[in-house]
Amino acid sequence: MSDGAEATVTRGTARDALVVRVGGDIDHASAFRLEEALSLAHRTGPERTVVDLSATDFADSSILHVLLEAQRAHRARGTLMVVCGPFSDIVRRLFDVTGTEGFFVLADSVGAALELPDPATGR
Amino acid sequence: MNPANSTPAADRGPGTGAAVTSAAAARDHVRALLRAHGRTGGPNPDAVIDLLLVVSELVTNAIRHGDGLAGFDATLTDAGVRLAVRDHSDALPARTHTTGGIPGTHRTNGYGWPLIVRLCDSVVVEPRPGGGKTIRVFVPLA
Repeated sequence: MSDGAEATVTRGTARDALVVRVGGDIDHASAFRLEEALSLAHRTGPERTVVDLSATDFADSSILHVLLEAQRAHRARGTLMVVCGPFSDIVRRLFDVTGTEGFFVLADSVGAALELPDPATGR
Repeated sequence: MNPANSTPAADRGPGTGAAVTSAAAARDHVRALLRAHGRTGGPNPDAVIDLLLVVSELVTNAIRHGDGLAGFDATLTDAGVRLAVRDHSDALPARTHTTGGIPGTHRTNGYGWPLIVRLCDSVVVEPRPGGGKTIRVFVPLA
């Protein structure tokens, strides 16, 4: 059980998708970084956004607020947002305990997230 | 140095004495407390996850909605961890059941407080004499 590492949020692109990757521990003090990265999707308008939580060791409900707001914004624009793992035990437990899994489109990996057909377009 | 073989287990371990001022520091403090007493694994590793989530939510609430964190204590017992988080606000977390005289509730993002209530064996909200409140919870580790 190692000590926590401050959250890092990085952005990349893969096949017309914006991939936002969260590493380390994300909580109320660092959630704004994810919020900023996701607001970029709003401005640059990629085909889809993938939120990669595979390197996220710890997340509390602060991330849910950011993800839900981003999900809302994406739906309003008709753009697909996928949250992908593989999730750490803590992140999985967070979704579980808060009952929020069903609010998001989830995938097991970035690859799977990119392959997912967009329900809006079927592509 | 740490008197690791002394009892009771209250607040012993690396990081004791350094004021906890963030959710991250509180998580590190609790992790260190468990490590110092060999309680990091055991039959229920999920329990440690729940503990860290509760710690993070409690301290976040104090900072964001409690007008600031006034104190953080973690006490390790055989059955689990007692947490006491003090803040500077009289406002109660939303959906707290009380007998009356509610000074007012505060809004949160909606997920933190239910998470705390769900994962803790007990949750007690006490007003502090000088103002503010103490939230005491017990998270089982067995």
